[in-house]
Amino acid sequence: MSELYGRDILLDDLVPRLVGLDAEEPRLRGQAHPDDPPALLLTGPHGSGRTAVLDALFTAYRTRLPVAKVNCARDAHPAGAMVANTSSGADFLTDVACGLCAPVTGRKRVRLPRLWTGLTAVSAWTRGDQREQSVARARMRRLLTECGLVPEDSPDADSWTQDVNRTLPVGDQGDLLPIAEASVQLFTERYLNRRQARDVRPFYAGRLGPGRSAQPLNELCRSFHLGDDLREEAEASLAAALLEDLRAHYSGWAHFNHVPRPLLLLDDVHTAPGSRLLEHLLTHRAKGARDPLILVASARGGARHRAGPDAAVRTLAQVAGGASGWQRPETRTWSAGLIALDLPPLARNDIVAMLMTVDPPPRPDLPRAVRRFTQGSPLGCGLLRDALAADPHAAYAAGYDVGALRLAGRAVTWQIATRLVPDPQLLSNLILFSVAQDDAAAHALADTYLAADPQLAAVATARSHLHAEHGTRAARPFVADPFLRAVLVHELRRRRPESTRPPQTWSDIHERLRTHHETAGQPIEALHHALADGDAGHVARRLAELFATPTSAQKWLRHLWQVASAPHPPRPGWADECRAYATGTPGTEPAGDFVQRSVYRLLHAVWLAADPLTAPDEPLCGRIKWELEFLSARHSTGAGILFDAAQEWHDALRELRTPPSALPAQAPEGSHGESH
Amino acid sequence: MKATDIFVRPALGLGRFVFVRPFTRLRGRPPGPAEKGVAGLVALALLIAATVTGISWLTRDDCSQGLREQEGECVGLLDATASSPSFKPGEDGPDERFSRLVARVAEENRRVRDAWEHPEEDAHRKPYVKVALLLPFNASESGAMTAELIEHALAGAYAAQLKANSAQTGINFQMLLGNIGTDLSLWRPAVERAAELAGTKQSEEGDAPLVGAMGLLNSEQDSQDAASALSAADIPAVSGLLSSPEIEADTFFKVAPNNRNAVTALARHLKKEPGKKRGYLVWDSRAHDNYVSNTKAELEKRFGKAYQLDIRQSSYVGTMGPYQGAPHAVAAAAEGICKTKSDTVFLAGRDWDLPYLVDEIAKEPECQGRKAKEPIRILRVSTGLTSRLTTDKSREQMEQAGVVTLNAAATDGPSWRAGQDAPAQFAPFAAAMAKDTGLKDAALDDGYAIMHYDAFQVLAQAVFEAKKSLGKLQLPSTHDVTNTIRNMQMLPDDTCKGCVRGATGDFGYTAGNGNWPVCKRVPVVRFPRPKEYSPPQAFRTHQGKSGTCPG
Repeated sequence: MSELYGRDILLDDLVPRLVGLDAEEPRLRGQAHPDDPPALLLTGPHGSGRTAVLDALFTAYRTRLPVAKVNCARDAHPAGAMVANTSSGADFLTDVACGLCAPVTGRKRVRLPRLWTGLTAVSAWTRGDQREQSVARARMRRLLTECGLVPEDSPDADSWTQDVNRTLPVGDQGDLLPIAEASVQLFTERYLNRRQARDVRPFYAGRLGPGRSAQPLNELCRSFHLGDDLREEAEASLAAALLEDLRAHYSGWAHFNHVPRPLLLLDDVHTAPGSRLLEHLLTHRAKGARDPLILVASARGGARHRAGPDAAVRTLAQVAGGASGWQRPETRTWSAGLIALDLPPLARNDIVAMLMTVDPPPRPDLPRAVRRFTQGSPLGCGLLRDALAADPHAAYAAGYDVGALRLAGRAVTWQIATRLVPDPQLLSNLILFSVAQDDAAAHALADTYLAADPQLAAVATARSHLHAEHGTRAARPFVADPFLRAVLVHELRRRRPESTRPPQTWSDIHERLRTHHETAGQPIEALHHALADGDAGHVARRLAELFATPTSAQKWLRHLWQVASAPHPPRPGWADECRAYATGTPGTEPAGDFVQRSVYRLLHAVWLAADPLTAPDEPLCGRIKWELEFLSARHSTGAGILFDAAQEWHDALRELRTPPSALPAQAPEGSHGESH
Repeated sequence: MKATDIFVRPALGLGRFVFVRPFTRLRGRPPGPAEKGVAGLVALALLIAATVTGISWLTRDDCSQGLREQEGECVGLLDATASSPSFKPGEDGPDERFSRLVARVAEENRRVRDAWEHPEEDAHRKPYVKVALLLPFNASESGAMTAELIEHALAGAYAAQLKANSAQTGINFQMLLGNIGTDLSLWRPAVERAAELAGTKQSEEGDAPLVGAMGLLNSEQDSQDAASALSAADIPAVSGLLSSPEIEADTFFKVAPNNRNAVTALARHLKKEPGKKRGYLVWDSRAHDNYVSNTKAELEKRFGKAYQLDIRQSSYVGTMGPYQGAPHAVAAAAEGICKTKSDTVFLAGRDWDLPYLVDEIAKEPECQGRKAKEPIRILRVSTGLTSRLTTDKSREQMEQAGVVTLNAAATDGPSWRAGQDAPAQFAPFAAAMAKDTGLKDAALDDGYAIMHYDAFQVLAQAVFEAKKSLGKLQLPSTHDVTNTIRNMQMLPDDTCKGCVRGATGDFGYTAGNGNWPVCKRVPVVRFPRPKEYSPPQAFRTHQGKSGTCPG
């Protein structure tokens, strides 16, 4: 995305105020929270535009202030676990150092003597270990060239390990620590001036505490190489060294002169090394140390779920004005210095603005359809926009169905699905489970269609993935996120049965689920799948019977919605058919009394309106209203409820919202207002 | 390595660092508040510096070294060691005709200061006092002093300073030059500064107090005011030229005889050589000129009756001062002289007006037929013979016109140089002048040098006398000097009791005489001087009937 639809406040207000520099103009902004800036944690599921925000920030501030962007999800050293002088944490900090020390227009490069020296120390290798030496050589080459310590083409950049080895006495058999000591000494002599070198040793000595502070850098190196908790402690020291270096660099004149503060962008800190790094940085601050670093991290998942207990959870609108209301809580936990922000779905205006950039402009009702389908997911909207841009005429041919758009030779829903669920096996399973209404149903499907071995694990994995992505949600349906579910269901509908083994046909799946629910004594769920399988006549009759029996009107409305929210069968022309039944086109209505015929029409109307691939239009909503008003006069006890519901459903569906009376009494936590 | 490598490259590097680097560093990024503040302060400082420079340039005082600007002149008391001061704003130095002397005075002053502050040996350490020489230092051909006269006055004072400083008296003199303005009216800054330097307290070691002033030529009202101001400050002042008896102040002493004395000398001369006894008075009509009006009054008082001067007189407009009519309008006077066939003309006017009168007399037809033996005698009161009068041309003119001037003067340079009736100290004075200042022969005839020489001599002698009763490093105060001058007496029969041994002869002061010199010679100088001329013995002030002094 070239523009941050709906997230402009981050780029226009919050981050500029925190760093003290306008994102576009060369103009200083008053620094918000000058002494103790909060760290920002942007959260959201896959495709919520977290990385796009960080990219936009990086692009806006690169070369204008020290800014580093680290992708914590990348696994740089698949075999790294076996090499003692590297870890993801150390690599991230190397990235940070290289990013922050990059040249900045009009200012001196940042110098990080403590962190450089610390990384030099932990990079020390066991004598003769070629893998460790190559890691050290690569890391030192990056540090020296990218931090501007030596020119790119200098021989010193590549010869670090040789240079260190040369300083060692030939007969010395001591392996690691002499090399660490020699590395630190060589680095200090070559690249640090006296004042910078002076501060390094006391800093690490202070971190380690008495008893271990005699040779602090050797101790740091040894801890790192020993691994486990000791390595984590060493990484925490390195993280603290970064902050301490920045504090030193930004004190005095720079502070007085309001020099814009450095910016660190950490993407995907939900990964273990990422969250450790974030925690190290914030823990140093929680101990009372103050530094100028502006930290913007992103994590998959919900804000409350990802941020610690003491973090402030805000919406984007609440942090306008530089999060001026924020104040560090008294507690000294690392999460106290954090503001977690859930990235909201795109709003109507954002979607319109986004789609209208396509040339020629698409059909006017398309933004509404896109909003209905994507629920405002930036990823979904973006890909649909790209699909439209690639083939503007497709939108006209596609009829009601935005799912029929194609991008780069594949269905756009496929593109979306692979982006939302990158793991192919998981995606395949989720596609299958997408029609399940609860865990038991998912298990039933797994029993039927998956190889015996991973059955249990498949449901559990899918469940935990969904939990991680979307936070705590209602247990029903199995895939609670409406956009993800719509995409997955559509993929299931599109999937050729023979692509899986055993073949998963639409009707078989629903038949299996219908049986499952009937067995489990869940008639409504069974009706849901009966409808999905295309047996509308039977479903309408059952609903009409329920209408006649002394079922409360509220309950009947919920049943109606639950049944009618069934996915439509993979039948071309289903939408037109459904509309014809809904409007009572002659020759389409079954035999029966007024109520039965009305329920039959209403069922089709709600089924069409609840379908995520179409956006209900005014005639359809009017039809639903009319049918409910008609039925209100026929119901033995719920005339008033049905009459009110008529207006309510009309309005809610027209606004692409689920009617409140259609939902169970307790609304599922964390659901967006538009979920069905 | 070439010189450019050593000097030019570092200079270019420095210039780049100071002027270029701030701008290139700032390019592409906004300046911070502290940088803005510093830039603002620098701009403000530059603005203030520019303003201050501009204001001081606009309101600059072109006068320096103790002088300040007033009415287009630099007036006040000059610093002792200023060797090339400008007495007019914008000029490089003093008038070139006497700049050499100003520099020498400064050099002597510096020597005197060093002899006290950085002596070569402590034993030779000599304290010093200051003396102010108050003169107009801007020459004016129509003003009180021409450059030549200033030069002569300064030379006389300088020679006296050298003489005083070379004497083995344990005390040295600095001479501070005070400019009192071309028309003498700007005396206040100099006198005020002199009063500051003099102080009132008893002097302490290390001080170099001002003990006296000298100068104050010509008898203007401004001279009276200046004298009164000096007197009010208890500063003894000695004037070499003043001759108007009305100008008096308590501590104001004169070296020249006053007009009354001069008129007496003229009367004595006329008694011996009465001539045709036909007199005529010619006077300068400038009302405020004290010298002229007083001379006229004295002449009328003494000769008015005998020579019927109340009807036999003419006036003219003198050349000095601002325009009050056509100067030198002396034709009417010449006509009167010739028509009345007068041979005794009393002139109450300035030296420099005389040639014009002679010229008119020469042109006057009524005077053409006289015999050469009956010259027209112009009787005057003056300090000496001015060079304007004694040029060959005017001599020739006067000889042709049959005019001689008889000046009752304080000095008689021509005779004294010839050794006729010369005072004892004249020969050393002439030698010192020739040696120290290069002035000799006719340059001494106008009397400005000798009178200032004597004026300094009065102060120097008084200081030496007062010093005798003080410790080695103790210095006399203005009170001591004044008191000593008062007691420089001539006792009967020309007995010198602390009298002044001046180059114009010995003289003294006595109480009740308005601080005019006693036993001061008043020779009557004849010009053109006939060959083999022998002047009569000079009259001396307070001369008794018997010829003794004081009588």
